[in-house]
Amino acid sequence: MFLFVFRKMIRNKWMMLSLFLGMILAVAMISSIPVFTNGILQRLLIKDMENVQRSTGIYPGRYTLSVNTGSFYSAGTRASTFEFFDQKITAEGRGDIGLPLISPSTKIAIDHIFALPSVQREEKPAKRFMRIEAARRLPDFVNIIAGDFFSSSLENGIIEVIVNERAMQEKDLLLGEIYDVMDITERLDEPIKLKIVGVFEQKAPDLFWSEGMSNYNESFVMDYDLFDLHFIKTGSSLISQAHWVNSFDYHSLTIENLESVLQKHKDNAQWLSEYRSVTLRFPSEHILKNYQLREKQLLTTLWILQVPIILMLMFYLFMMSQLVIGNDRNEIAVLRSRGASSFQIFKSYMLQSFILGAGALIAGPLLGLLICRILGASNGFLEFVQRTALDVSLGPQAYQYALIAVAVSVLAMLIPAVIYSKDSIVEHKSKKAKKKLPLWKKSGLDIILLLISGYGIYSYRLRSSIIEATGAAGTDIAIDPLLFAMSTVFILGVALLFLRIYPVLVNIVYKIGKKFWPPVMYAGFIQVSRTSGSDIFLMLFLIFTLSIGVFNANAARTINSNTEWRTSYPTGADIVIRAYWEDDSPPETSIFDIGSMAGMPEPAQTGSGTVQYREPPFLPYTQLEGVMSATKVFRQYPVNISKTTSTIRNVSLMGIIPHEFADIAFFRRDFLAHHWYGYLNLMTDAPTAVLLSRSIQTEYGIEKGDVITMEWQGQGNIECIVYEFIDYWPGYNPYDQKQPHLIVANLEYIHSKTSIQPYDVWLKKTSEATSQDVYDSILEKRLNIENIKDTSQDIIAAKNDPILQGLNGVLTLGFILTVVICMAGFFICSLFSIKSRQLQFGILRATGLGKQKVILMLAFEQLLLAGVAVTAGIITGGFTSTLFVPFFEITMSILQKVPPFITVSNRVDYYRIYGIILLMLTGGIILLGMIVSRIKVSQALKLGED
Amino acid sequence: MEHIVKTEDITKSYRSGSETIYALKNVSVTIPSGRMTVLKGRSGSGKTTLLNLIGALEKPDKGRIYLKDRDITKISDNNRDMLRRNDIGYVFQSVALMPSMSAYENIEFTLRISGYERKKRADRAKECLSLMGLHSRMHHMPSELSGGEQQRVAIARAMAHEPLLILADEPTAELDTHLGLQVVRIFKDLVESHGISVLMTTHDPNMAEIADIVFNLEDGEIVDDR
Repeated sequence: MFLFVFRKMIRNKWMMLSLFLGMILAVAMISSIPVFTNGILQRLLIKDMENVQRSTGIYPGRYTLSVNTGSFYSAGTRASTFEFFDQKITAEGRGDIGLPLISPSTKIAIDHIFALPSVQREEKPAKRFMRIEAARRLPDFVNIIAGDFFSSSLENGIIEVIVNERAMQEKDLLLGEIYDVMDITERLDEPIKLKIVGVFEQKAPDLFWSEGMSNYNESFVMDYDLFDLHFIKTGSSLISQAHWVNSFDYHSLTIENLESVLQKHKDNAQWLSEYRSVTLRFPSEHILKNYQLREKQLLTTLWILQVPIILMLMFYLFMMSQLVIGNDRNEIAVLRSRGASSFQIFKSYMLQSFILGAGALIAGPLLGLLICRILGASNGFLEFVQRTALDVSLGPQAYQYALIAVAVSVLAMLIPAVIYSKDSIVEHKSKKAKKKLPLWKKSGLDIILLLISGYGIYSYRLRSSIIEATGAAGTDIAIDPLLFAMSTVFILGVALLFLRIYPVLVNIVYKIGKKFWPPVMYAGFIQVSRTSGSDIFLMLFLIFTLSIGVFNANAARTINSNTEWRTSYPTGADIVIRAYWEDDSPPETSIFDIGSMAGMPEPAQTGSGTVQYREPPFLPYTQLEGVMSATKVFRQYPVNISKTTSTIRNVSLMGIIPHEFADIAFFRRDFLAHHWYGYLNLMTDAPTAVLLSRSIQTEYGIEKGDVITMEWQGQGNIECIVYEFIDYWPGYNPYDQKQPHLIVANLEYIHSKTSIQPYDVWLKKTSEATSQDVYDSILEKRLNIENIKDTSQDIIAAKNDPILQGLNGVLTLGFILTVVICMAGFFICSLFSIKSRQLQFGILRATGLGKQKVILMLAFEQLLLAGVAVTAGIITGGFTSTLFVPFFEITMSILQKVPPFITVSNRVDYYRIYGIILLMLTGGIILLGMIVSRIKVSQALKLGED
Repeated sequence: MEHIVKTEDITKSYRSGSETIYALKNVSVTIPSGRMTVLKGRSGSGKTTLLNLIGALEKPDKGRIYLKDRDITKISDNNRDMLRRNDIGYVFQSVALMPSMSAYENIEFTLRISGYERKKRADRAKECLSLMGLHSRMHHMPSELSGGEQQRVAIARAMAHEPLLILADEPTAELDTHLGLQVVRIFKDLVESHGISVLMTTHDPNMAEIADIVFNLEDGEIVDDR
């Protein structure tokens, strides 16, 4: 059996190869899902942890257990309690979460004590409330800056200790002085005698100090072993606190071991909860827990995004398998009539599928790994960046997924086998005669699918109107993956409906000109209007794949473009810089000001009056490397606007130089009613002209031509004339609750009326310049900069969102696959269909139809089948895009409503598709021509003779 | 008697690996017009090759073939196509109809190819089918017709454009004896009532009985003629 199947596979090697290709791709795609999810979350996880460390200064791998022996444990058990916990935590792994430890430390303390110099040196001795502490391995991490290290034994009954500088100063301690230590409840019979022998400081930054040096500001630090000997082994009742600070290396945290880390932590917490007065702190816990949620989200998104692609691959497999088996039909029928049971025949196909499946299971995940690398490098739709490769590896999960993919692929391949293996030669021949309505036509699948997607469109419309009205939304995912699923259903429905109608249409055209069609067209029309089975499936396949390709391209472009706009719009230009401005205000104010400068600048206002600023040179900014142009933009908030008697408060002012602003600021055609150059020209022509936000018009009834005055702290009444109203303006958010009003005025006019105040510098980069070029140039020119906002960096950060990155990756991949699969499917199908019709061509040639005519006939037929399918696919894709892409606004608007959502399609994508199709069709026709030319009529005729 | 086809010393060989196989060796035959001629011989005797050469599907290595008085050995491919289109009708051994076209459409299509007058096409197609006794089945698809019926459609198609000569390559091979005889009789009728010339190959001596003239082919040579 095996040999039989194997031989047959070798004989059909090209078909097997194309089946194998489909299978490998399916397995690779599906197994890449968990690999990619893990890879991207892994990268993000480590990045997030690093960010926590950078912003809070807390080491995110810190894991602290503390026991307060002083409060809940009776005096006699305190020392043994410590020993119990120390044993459990350091020896039995109760403080472990399964990650490598860096510089663990155990700290034990005697609290609630005070020290007095043994030899009185103050008139009224001050009690110095301190702790006696010991920490394992402390000497390794400190430098002695004065005196010596403590001894590890008692010196004349005195314990030697070291303290830090802060303690020396604040507690008024002296090096070399001996202190009597008493506990505050005065249970000690006699004081403990301590001698300060040294002052220490932190050696190098180390995780040993993850809790900071400040913990030692009230500590006498003694040798740990001596502490053990002197207090613990003696069962001292003074032991009040113990900490075990374990710092785990979070870089070895992976998405795979996340679960077990959290579980170990949970176990530890569970164990600790049985004891009183114990605390466990793990500051990163919530971050980690969040990841499990994010993993689920990303998995779902990727799954849904890949569903159409996987469906496409299944279609392909089904189609190829149908071809293979259809090709074998005669053989099957012969085998059946010679006594082979249909199960035996089925088994032979099953074996064949298993052989292919096994191969795919081995090779698929490896290709999946490669796919992940591609996904990880995708920066937008069909855009890739040089990035450190995504750290991906094949885990058991990837193979689990691969196994599922193989199972589904085998199933797709076996369906035609089940159908055909039942045929004996008699049934085969008689089946050829019968024409049955296909199941999908009978059940009205196309209508059902359209109804489902129609409901989807309806509910999205409803939701979008609700959101528009209330601004509320249900989900927190930026991209709703269900939209992709819904559009897939729609595309399938449209494609099937088209295939129901199309043959009828062709038939009508055929009938209209029946008398006049030349033979070539006559044959083509008849062939297509009566087409069924594999031809219809090829059409469905082409329509489906191309629609998905077009829709995905439009969806990706739209999402990316809106993401970029939303990131860049608030900033307004490529780079916005606030230089450091010297002023005459007192220094404190100045420091305070720098802190609050990030957003809207506030003038440094002192009691005495306006601050005088010294303007830093502007020219260097225009000469920066990689900068095309620069302009000054003055922003002031709050400003008061008055018209005769009424005053509008809390308006934001933007002072611009219109002709420079035009080249630099980000602007889009749909922001304003007219081209925005028109607005800027108005302002250039009239220095006193101002533009007001629509909100001022609607709320305060100000009209065009009104004369208003604006005024802000210390800067007085500037008279201007209202020229136009604006809905959007770079950097202006009309939905901002705090600053809903904007006035745009000529900066030069403002400067002529007021003293100079700090402005921002807006820069436009040259197209090839990187941010680094600009930064380097700023350093080189020694420009004193207070604040810089770089849109490109923000966009990179936004694009690093794993869902967006996954989306771009999957859509890019899907598009490439669409192309590959489309071409492979088309070529193989047409090759087969031509080969199976060689006899027909022979007959046609024998009846005197010239070679060119036969080719022309086939080309015409291909045009009616593939050409029309391709056109229908592109149109369906475009139509689906106009229907579904706008709904992405629903989920995207939750994050930010400004600037308005736009749907984007990129001509280049369409050109790419057209190019590929042109290539496909011409290639197909050349292939056709080659095959037809090679046909020897006499041989082709003989084909029919066996 | 006037001839429809005359061959002079035609030789045709095929290369099979390093060997050269002679399918026809110096064959000279004269096929009379308005008669039913049969080429008889075992499989591999070269009868199909001869038929294909006469039908301008292949070219001889040497020798000449005349259709009526026209030398068709040296004419261009386009002229060959035209020749087949206008002057020759083919009937093949196997189901040789366009599967997606009905019986009627198959004939109509051939008429279209041969450039038959547009207005007369429909009538001519119906006429030919009626002649074959298929009037009632003319809108059936080939797959809905029996083997004999299909072959009759093929004959109707071969004669529809009023060719000079009908070439039939083993038209009875896939039919049982009874149906085979029926088909041969149809040819005979066409010859007798319409004056069409028919050249048919067969390996079945029974079929040869009905023919006016029989050529026996053995290993590419005419061995005896009647």
